[in-house]
Amino acid sequence: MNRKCFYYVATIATAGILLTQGAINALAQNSAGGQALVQDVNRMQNQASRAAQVQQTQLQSVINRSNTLITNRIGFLNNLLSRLQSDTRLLADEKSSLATTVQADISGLTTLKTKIDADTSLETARADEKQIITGYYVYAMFVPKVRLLIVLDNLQTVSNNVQALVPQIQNLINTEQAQGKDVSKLQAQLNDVSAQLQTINSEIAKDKAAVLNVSVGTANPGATFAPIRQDIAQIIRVDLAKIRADFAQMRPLFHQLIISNPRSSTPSAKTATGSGTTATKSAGNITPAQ
Amino acid sequence: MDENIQQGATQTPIFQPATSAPVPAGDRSKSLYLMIGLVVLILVAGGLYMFFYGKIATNSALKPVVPAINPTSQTQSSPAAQIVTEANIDQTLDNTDKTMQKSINQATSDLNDVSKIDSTQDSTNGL
Repeated sequence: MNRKCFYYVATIATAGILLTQGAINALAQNSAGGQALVQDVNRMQNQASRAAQVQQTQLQSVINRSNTLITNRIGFLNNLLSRLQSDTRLLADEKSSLATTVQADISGLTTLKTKIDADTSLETARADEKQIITGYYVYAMFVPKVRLLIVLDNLQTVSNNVQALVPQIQNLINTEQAQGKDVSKLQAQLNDVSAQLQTINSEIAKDKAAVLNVSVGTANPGATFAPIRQDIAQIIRVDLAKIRADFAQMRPLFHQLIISNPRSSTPSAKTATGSGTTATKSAGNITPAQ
Repeated sequence: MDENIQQGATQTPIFQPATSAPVPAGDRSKSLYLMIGLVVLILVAGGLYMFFYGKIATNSALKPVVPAINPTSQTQSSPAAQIVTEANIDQTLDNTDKTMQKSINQATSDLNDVSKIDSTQDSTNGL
């Protein structure tokens, strides 16, 4: 009975010891896991904080870059506006229309700058930054377009002025012809002037339509502008140069006709003859534009 | 009595020829009113004339003469604005040539400016 009791007590004691050790081990293990959990949470918090900091820095960087992009563009557009306002050949409505277009872009960019400065999301700021470029294409499309329109309008004014002169010169040639003078050379020169003007007007009309068609949505504005620049160069170097050469040849011809005219003894004719001498000299200096 | 009769006999009857018919009092006042009316009318007409004439004269003296066409509002006069004659044909052609030269120079300068524009600044690469 005592031995049996001893075994019983020994078994219970062993089991108790084993259970206690297990419990101690388990408790010890739980304590280590908690620390790891806290460390994990801390690490995650730190990572989130760093990510937020990085994002804030990137946002500020985008805002700063955007401000620079906008400032440069507005400065460039203001230069264009100054060029436009100082033009003496553009008609008032042409000038007003182009100036309004430029002002609209300046205004749009200014509004965009205000929006970007207030952006709090990096994604939104990046989208707005792209809008500075894709919404305006100031360098690739807008400024070249307005510049080319200014040139074309100016050339159109020149052409109109010369065109208005042609019938008056024709009248004078007719008058000389009625007096029995040989005006065949003068008539040929004037016909050439008219032909050049026709070419110029047709080129300008075609080019202006093409330039006006270019917009922000045009895929490659440069591809449209390149041939127009060539056309303008052609008008300057060839067509207008020919007209100037025609005028230069007409002046001595008129001079000869007026000298041989009995009416040239009048004071007004003398004045014309005097200026004709000077003009003949200067006519020799006329060179086609490079 | 006789004396009176004699006196009366010798006394020549006073005969006053009727140079003008006696005017009734009503007609006289009418004429007077007519005269006064005429004078008043002349005075009023004169006053009005002086008033308006003086006003017109003052206005024309005060207001500056405004040219029909403001020369500064015109961007450029057409060469055809003046009639081309033998006397001015040479000067006209010369002026036109100079104007063309200026326009050509400006257009050339503008074309150069256009070709200098750096369109790569509108590249979205890296954004």
